[in-house]
Amino acid sequence: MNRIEDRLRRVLADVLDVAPSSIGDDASPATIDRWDSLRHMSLLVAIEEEFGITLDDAALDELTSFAGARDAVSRMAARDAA
Amino acid sequence: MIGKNVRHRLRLAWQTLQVAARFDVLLESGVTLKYVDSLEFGEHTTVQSGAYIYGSRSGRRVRFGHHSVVAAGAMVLGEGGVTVGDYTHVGPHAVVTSQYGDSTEEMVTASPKLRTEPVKIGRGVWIGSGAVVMPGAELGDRCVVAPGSVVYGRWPEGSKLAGNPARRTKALETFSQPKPIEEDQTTRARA
Repeated sequence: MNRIEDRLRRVLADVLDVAPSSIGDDASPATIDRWDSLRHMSLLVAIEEEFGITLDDAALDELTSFAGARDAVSRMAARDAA
Repeated sequence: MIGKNVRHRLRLAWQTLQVAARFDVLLESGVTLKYVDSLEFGEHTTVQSGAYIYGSRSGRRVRFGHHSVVAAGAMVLGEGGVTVGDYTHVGPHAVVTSQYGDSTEEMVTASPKLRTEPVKIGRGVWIGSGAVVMPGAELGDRCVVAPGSVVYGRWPEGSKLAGNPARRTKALETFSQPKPIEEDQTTRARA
């Protein structure tokens, strides 16, 4: 889990152009000004590239905060590994 | 109103002539160029009929590399800065935009707030007809973008992309073999 969390934090920091340390569980479009609709789409494709997954509709619904993204990616990674 | 339109068209025509005089670029009929002071064209570049290239009013540069092509009806919006590499083709009716509306601000206004992100497109990139390259996108050398795709984010050299949002597609791998781009004298001289 921690490895996924660290990788995901790096992806968010890179796409949103913020320090990784500033991304807590509650990081969301409401707390990060640069997390707008354009960067949200960039984030989506960057996450897919990083983890080699294709986010499904349920995952896209969860992609509204760092914690939600972490849960979605963890679930999809576990599903693909099974 | 007629005078306003006539003056506007004359000004655009004059600016287009200025670009043609300054750069080795073929500007076909019906090309619209705005904010030309920010535009730079490499040698042997072509802008086909009906293309619309909007430069930057904020000091950023909109650069087209040697032998690059902006095909018929394509649009480049350069407020955030755009770089198009040598030998790159922006396909018919494709859009490359470095600016977008800020929907968190008031939208019912004559002066909507814009956000900008620079766009960087590498050398030998092919952008299919009707594709859209969004603000902040980066495409490495020899990328291929399928027609109608919408590109977000950064993609490394040789990526083959399709869809909305554009993702890597193995379907296109079959049809391409990365080869070093043969440099001509223009390119060597530039280096």
